[in-house]
Amino acid sequence: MKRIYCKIEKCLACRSCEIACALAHSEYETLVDTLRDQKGVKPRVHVQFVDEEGTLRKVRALAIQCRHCDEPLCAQACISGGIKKDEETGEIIVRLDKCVGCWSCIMVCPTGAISKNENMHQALKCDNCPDKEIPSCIVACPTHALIQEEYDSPQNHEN
Amino acid sequence: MNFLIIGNSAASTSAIEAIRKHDSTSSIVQLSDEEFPLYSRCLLSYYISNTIKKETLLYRSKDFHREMNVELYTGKDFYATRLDVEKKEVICKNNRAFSFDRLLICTGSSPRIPNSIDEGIEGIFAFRNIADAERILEKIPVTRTAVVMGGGLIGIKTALALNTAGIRTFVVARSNYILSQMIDPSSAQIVSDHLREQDIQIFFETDVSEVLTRNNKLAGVRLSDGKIIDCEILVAAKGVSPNTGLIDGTSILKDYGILTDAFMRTSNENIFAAGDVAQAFDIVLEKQAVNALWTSAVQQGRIAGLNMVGQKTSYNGAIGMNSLNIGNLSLISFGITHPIDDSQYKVLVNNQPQRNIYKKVVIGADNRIKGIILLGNNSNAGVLLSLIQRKTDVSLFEEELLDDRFNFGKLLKYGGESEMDRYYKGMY
Amino acid sequence: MREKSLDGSVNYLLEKAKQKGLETVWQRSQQQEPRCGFGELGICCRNCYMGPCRIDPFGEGPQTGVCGATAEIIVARNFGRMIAAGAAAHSDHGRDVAKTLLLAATHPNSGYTIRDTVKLNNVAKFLGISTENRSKEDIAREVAEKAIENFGRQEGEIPFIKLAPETRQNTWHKLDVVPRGIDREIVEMMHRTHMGVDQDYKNIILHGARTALADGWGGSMIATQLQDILFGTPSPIRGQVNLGVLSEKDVNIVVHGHEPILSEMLVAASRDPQLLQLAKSNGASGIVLSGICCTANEILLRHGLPIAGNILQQELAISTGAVEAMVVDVQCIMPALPEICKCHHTHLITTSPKGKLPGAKHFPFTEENAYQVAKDIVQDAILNFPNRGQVDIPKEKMDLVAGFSHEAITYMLGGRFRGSYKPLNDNIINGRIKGVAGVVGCGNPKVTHDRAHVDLVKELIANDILVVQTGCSAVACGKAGLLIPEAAQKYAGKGLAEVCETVGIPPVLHSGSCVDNSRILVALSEMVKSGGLGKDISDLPVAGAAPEWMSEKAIAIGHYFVASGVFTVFGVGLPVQGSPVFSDYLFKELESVFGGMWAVEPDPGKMADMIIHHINLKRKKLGIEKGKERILYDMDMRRELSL
Repeated sequence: MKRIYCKIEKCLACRSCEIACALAHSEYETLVDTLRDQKGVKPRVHVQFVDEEGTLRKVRALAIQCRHCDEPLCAQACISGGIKKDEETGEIIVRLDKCVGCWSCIMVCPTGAISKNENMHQALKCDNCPDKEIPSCIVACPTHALIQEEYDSPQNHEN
Repeated sequence: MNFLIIGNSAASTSAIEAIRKHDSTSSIVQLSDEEFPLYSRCLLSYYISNTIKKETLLYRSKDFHREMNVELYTGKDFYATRLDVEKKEVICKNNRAFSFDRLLICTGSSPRIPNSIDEGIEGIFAFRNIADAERILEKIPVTRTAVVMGGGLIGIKTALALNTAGIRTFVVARSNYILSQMIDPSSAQIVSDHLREQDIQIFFETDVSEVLTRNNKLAGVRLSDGKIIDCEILVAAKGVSPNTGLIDGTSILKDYGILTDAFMRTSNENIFAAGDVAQAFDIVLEKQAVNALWTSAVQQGRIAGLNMVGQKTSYNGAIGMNSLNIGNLSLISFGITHPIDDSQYKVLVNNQPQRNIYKKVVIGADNRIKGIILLGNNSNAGVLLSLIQRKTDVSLFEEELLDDRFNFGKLLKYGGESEMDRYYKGMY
Repeated sequence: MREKSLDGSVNYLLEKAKQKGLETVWQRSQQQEPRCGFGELGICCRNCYMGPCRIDPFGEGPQTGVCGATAEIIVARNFGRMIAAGAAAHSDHGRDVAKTLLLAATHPNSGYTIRDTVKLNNVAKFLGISTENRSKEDIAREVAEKAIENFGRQEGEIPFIKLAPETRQNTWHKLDVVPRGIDREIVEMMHRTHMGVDQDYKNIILHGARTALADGWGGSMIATQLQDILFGTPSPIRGQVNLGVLSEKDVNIVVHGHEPILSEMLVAASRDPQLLQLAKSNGASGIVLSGICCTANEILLRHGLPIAGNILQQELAISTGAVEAMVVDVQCIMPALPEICKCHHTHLITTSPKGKLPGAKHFPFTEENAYQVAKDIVQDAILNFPNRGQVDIPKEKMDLVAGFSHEAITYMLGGRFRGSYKPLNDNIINGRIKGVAGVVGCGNPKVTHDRAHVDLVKELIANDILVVQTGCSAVACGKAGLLIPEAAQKYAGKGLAEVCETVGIPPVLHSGSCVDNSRILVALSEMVKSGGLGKDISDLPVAGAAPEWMSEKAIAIGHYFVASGVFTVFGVGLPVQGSPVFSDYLFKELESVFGGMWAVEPDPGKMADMIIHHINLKRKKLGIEKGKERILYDMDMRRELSL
């Protein structure tokens, strides 16, 4: 399946992806309106510090979002049955109508890719922007550090 | 091949899904003593507090068993009473016998009910299944005060649910701090303070010594220190024990629960067990233990299902893990958080009481994490959990584990090439 | 994890703060990680709202802003605005000093007096003001008026550039970068960097030079010279430094900020017998006035009062629980202070109409009511003494000698009657001293606090380079024990140690606050004039450094050093590195324009290498390269330094 990756050497940690993601998943058109939304808007991509080994500048960072794991721990931990792997696309889908905000998924997610919307008691994570041709974080990335590529599963890789 | 599954909750569901992924034709028969369609027990506290609707309790779609081609028998009549290992059959309460080639026991666990408690009295509950929840819901409109016996996770979750439903709630804890199986006294103090702010009062180091009734209805309780609380609801939440009754009189080995190997197989090669009833390998304790946890049940059910269908897969092991929310205060814990013998462990604490943050990591002599408490900021809990699961040597970066910013990025740094590779290949 | 500080008192208090759940600049710095690379590299532009715009430094994304601005235009504009802001800060400080001098001259009851008439007469003569048969007040009035003129002048030249060597002045004239009026240059920089004006980065940097020179040879110079007239020209004085100077038994008042106009009055008020009596009756044995940041340097240089710490220690001073009042004026005062005061009894007191803080008490301070306000503040602090809770003062404190104004250096080197820079030049020519380095600037939590300052200075003096310091850098080295004469024997190379012992000076000379960097400009000019080391500042075997810089003021200082012909190295990083073209211009080409240029090197060891290499190059050009070999620092020795 296609996953979003971050080329670590190119990430400048500007958080444009975070802003674009929050905006793309809000019901509003503008950032200002989005931020005013009482329901609480959270990005589903997280810019994280890696180390101080960079070349262009010292800091290396990456933007991490849901890895759509092969054996998703979040789906196993979900007490409401609201997280499932779509067998066709391979995407992990959160059904927000089922989510009760128990944060069991956050408890187990190995990449820390799930955000809490505490106002709505909902767990939010990357959905690959289903309505868009290219996910909004990739469009927003000014250095083209984010890319979406077909994932060669380890099994296929070995065969 | 004929598969027989006893129980209808987390473990059985993931077992069915695992079996059907590889085998769409074999017969699967499932028995459950509950009428209500497949639902999530963990959501019951949300149900009684009126946070969710009844439909939301459903763990899978109503058509799940039909879609999975499972022959499901439900109701009290289909309560599995006896297992005949030789004949390979299970006999129900209604004396109907079901034969099998491979059997999966996921009979779960039941609340431990103290002798002093008579469930026949109106207002006294052992909160276990949807029927209990319905009875509590009926009682709530005529209830002003409730008492929850037990300061463990279920007790506190029940108290929070009753509190949300608008009932003045007291918790009676035998220990001198709450959640003693899950966290340590310092973090429990913060949680207790938060509960008090939510108007949940806790009585420590005491117990219900006597139930006071009027017309066979609950009127109040007397605590062991003589204090009397008038109440209309009393919930017993003193932990659960595995429902191992089915294997009584058989050769199948049990300890506290039914003993299972790395393939979730019992001592009989055709019989598997998973979920609350199973005593499976625990990564942190490094021995077989009962972990009555939703996640473990799902994982064990899946492993059992795969092995039953011939897909040999071994279980990495369970880890004690729990998540609790009190308002916006979030608590997550893993493994051994309050070791009795400190000298065996290195304990690191990051305590910021002003910010309601308390974090603790317990590291064993082998430099592997044995337990974690994350109170307050815990959005990267799973990253730390992965270190326990993978038995990562943390000596290089143990000082950073409790940093608010310890996240996946740090893991990439310390994991080096292999971690980077895992990231690019999506191998999680 | 990177250590937070070289200073034991800091690490101790940070551990305590962590236990108490207090947040400091270090946690907040960590919370900013990872910082935005566009900002760090200087390639984002917010100067107009067609933007904000960013340049992709990897070349795949946009290479120009909406208006067409390239990376070099964007970084040049941003850099120019930093210079303007820095020059504005120093110069506005200078303006207030000039106004205070005018007040002292015209209002005998103001509380301010003219302490240094020798300097008054010298400055007056330099400005062409007659001193014959005039009262000092009358002279001071005219000096003040002349000084104030420089801010609003539209044409002509600021007079103090005439202190520079003639060759340097010629260079400036040729480039047309002699500042006309101080405010004018700052305003013009804001104009040029407005959308759609100056699009030539080289031209922007030229005007940057003019603006920076208006600071170094203008605003800062006026601040320093006139402060000397008002409060006395510093001469070597002993003092103490670090948080250990806070006293358990006394009322502690910490002055923090920049302008001595306030602190001088607080010094006087803290010695008021009535207030001392009040302190006693409130259970304290006395009053200890100490300082943070440049105010600390001002009261140290003129009164020998202790320094509690440098910029990054401001919150920690409060966290000791021993500070009754922290009195602040302008610049480098962290808005986080009210938060940490909430957890302690400390009163945070703002005094300047320019700098208020929600959560602080405001005592409106004007030059006219200065003494009364100072007394009110001291009284407020005393009355707060009984409210003290738990007190935990770290042990660390260190002796130091400070007060090396360029006048003092003249005197120290040459004696009263033949005072000059000749002996210094002779020692440079004969190789006992290889050269001079000015090591100055701030503290920055992005790097280990104090480490780059101390490591760099130790390595320089070990290689016989005399170090002159100001600001928070001087405080860092003071805490590390480099500002005492004994440091010469311990850390300096043989030649430098010999000179220091003969003259009786430390190998590292503390010249004052950050406006006092103008003293270094004068000292360099004096070196040129004393002969034997070339005709221009750019001929001298000297260099400048700001190893842990963070403020816009530092950029202004760096650029006036470069424009005055000094090779200047900055640590941490520089927000221009997103444009290779502009970086090359600053780091290479600029030398052919000004004789000085910029460099960036975060590693103090490599920074020392660069400075030593530069000084050797200059010595070679002067034909004085012979002398003993430099001590090569290997990794082990550098590690040794860090202990």
